[in-house]
Amino acid sequence: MIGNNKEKGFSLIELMISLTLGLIVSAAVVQVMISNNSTERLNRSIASAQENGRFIIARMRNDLVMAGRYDMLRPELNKDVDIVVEAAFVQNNPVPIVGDFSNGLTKGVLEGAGTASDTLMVVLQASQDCRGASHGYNDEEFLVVNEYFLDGTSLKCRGFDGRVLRGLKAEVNDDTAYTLLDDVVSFQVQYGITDNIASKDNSARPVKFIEADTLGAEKAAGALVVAIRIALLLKADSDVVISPVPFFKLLDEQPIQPSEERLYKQFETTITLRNSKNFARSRNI
Amino acid sequence: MNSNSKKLYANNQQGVGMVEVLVTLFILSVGLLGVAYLQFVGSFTNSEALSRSQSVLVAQQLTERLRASAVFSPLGKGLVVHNDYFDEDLYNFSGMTCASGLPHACYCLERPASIPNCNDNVCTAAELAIFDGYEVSCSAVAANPEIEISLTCELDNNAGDTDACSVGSKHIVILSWPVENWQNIERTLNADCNVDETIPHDCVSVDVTL
Repeated sequence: MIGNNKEKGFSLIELMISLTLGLIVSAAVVQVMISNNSTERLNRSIASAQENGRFIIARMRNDLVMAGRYDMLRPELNKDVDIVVEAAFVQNNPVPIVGDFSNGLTKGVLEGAGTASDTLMVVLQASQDCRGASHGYNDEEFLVVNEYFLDGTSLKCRGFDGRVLRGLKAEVNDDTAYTLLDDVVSFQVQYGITDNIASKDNSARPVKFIEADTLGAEKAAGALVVAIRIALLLKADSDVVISPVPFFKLLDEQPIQPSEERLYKQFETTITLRNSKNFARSRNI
Repeated sequence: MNSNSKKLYANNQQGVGMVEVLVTLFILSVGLLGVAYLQFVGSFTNSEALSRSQSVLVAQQLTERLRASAVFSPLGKGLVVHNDYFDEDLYNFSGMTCASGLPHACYCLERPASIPNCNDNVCTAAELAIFDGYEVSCSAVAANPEIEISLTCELDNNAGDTDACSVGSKHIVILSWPVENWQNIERTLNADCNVDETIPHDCVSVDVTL
């Protein structure tokens, strides 16, 4: 009987203390997990924006750096058309403006109104366009015209056979656009022009970085595009909320502030057109 | 006998003592600290990777601008850029003042009056150097406000001519930013970007010959 009296479990005090401590411990665990989750989301969105940016800059650079290439001596070049005339066309129009193509009168670089996105187009000799289409040529090089533009939030690209656009051939491949990258908010382009005809300076250095809408007048005055500058604003593909969204200024456009409160990253690069520069240097002034 | 064993049994019966609970709490908190630490390290490393890859893009952009602006030297032996590109006052918004806020919001949303407008006007080589210096500084601070950019000539291989970086010399683009030494983890620093620096800097360095 005495022994029975000594038998005891938790007292109420002990129970309450343990419960409180347990509550504190589980609150800490939950807190760590919540912050872990949000940090992880932020990290993932930064990484995704960075990955997309690096990819698209590398891709565009590879595509654009050869603009204005025309090598008449290359055995792979398809010679169904007058290649001397074609060479002159490519070298003088590495970046075509609207009106340069007799069979594609709407094709050319375009400047988006206000802060709207631009359309970029380049001409070069290659064996396939930016989508990998060969337009009926069998391992031969031809006049490739690549167009890059923003459709909604997708940066797309489509390729043409320049000979079709110039009215010298019938179309083989269609011009379906392929998506290069999603979640692009803005795509802006500037053209560095050299004015060696006007200034009698054949150093071929860019003197001015202009938009597509003034490129026509400059080209008519003898300017040649020797550099392309592109800028992209990308949205991270995670639902992390960043508030307030900062202003982004792409090239010389007005600063923009995306309406959705997400993580955005801006990427830009400059590409010197080696072929155009060499051509401008060797122009007879 | 029966009563004795019952008594012993009753005496042995114990709940979880206060000390045990406290010890558990202590061990658990050490574990939680570890998890929190992991997050910090992850975030720091991620932001450092961001600075680094952004710097690589900016360095590539500056070398490409140099290539665009390169002209034949007077003797025609090769390509050189305008001497002003090596003026360090052209980079990192030096001489400009910012009342408050980050440098990108301060200088880059609107072109300061001291920077020539090479979008609407024809620029000389010297003006284009100022313009390029300003624009690359802007792209550098867009990712990390503390990134600083510099362009130097490793060794002018012809000191006799007027070119700051003669034909064939190495042009070095360095982008550096301060880093924290996290919990005394040994960090290997590049001596080239820690000259005259009091706190450790990480950097990306690109060498180019035009």
